[in-house]
Amino acid sequence: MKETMKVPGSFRDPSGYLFVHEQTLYRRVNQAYESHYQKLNDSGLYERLIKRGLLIPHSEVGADDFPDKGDHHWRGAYKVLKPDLVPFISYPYEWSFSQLKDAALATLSIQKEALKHGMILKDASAYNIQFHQGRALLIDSLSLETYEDGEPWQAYKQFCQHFLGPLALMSYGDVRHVRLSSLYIDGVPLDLVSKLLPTKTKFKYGLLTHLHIHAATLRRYSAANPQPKKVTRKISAQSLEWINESLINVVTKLQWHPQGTEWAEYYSDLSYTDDSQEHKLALVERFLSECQPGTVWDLGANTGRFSRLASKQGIATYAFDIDPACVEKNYLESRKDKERHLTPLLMDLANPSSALGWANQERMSLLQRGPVDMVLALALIHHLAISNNVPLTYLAEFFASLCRELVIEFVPKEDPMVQSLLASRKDIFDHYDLENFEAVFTKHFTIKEKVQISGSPRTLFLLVNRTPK
Amino acid sequence: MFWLRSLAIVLLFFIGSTSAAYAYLDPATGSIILQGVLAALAGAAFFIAGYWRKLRSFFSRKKDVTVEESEDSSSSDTEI
Repeated sequence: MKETMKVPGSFRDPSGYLFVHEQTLYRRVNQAYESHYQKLNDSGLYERLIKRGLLIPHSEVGADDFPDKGDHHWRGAYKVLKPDLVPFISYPYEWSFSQLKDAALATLSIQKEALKHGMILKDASAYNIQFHQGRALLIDSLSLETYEDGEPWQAYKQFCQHFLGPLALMSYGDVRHVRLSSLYIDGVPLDLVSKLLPTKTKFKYGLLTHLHIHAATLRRYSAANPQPKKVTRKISAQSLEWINESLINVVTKLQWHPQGTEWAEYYSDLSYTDDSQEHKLALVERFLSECQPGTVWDLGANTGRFSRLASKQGIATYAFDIDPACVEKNYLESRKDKERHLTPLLMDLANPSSALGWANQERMSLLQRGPVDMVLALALIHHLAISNNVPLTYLAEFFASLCRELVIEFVPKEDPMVQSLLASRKDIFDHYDLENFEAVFTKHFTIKEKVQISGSPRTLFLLVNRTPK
Repeated sequence: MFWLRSLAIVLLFFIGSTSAAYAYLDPATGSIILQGVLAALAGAAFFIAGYWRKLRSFFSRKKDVTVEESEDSSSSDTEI
């Protein structure tokens, strides 16, 4: 990419925006943000948030360091910043319960620190939080503004729509409600949250006030019930701290325990003997060492046993799975072990995240966030080809668009797992065999390694893309 | 829920008003008003908790235990 490009999702905030120049990401700070920027530094808030790992660090770009002075994103800016790069941007509808909860608590911790330093979060969008090096942190340093005495929290509604509402729905309703966030770009409307939550949540003080009464108050003062004059109200800083503590309290109390889903107990099932599993682990580890990828996507990662082979080598690894319980277990383990290179994410490969928002450009589709160096597709292909009827040719094209190297496991029909998929349906998959798999995939890839997994009818391939993107 | 709505309406009278808000987000009138109500409820809770603590320590001879207990109760009040 030679020309300068404004990042499509970065247009709402008048304080500045992100742009890419000569493949480097910059944040332009407009003159309007000058006093806030000074306050952020002078109050010690920036330093404090960096120390606590709650904000993405940035450096100021000096005139000598900027490559093109004629560029219009550079001209007239108050500052140009170079934030540390987050290699993969994920979205709240791809997070497990605890990921969304940690993102919510990170937001509230930032607000708490900000209030202590005479500043305030002017927005509380879940899209401003990213998982980076094992932590949930704020990536938008322009979100912090000087606190004006008496000003209410402008982002209170946004916080409830982006975080508290979805979390309460996941905790008290169904964890799959997380997907609602992809339908509503500015968070789930509180009247919808209130309708979907069970009645018992009206007897919990935090949920009653921040969600149910909040929804009712919004309705009462909505455009349909216009007020004769603009309502302005002073809220003391002390009150904002109370409200923040209340939100921390209610978010902390929300729980969800993954159990009983199809995949979360997968490794304790009998789909693999210990020998086969050990052989497969050794092979994948060797492939990783040989190829030395910078980034790995593990598709169908389950709870991340194979993803960890990559992340433990220091490779930035993203472990996708369709099952919220697996993603939750994987995240909790990575958090417990303070793993810096592994990010578990929720993804239905039969219907991966699409491009969303204004002009379909604000939030990237999964494919727009690729390609990556290596994809792991272990014990996956039979689910896509047989459960979801995707032809092998489509699968080969899909993987070829995603990666340079592909580690893929072919699971033949005689495998007990495939047998169980076919048990309740007619076998219409005449072309699903090893020979045809190789014929189709070698149109896009060359076979670097092909190994029969010991004690198993499965074959593991290391494929190299003939024409990587 | 009627009592809570009534309480909210009563509390609205006790909250001052000035200051216009200019932000790029629409804070929504309903959200601002609710923050005022929650702030007043929180204030009231702290106020009552303070009196409750005094009242209990007045009637109780076991001062050490009372202090511990009242700290517990005040921390649960801070939920607001």
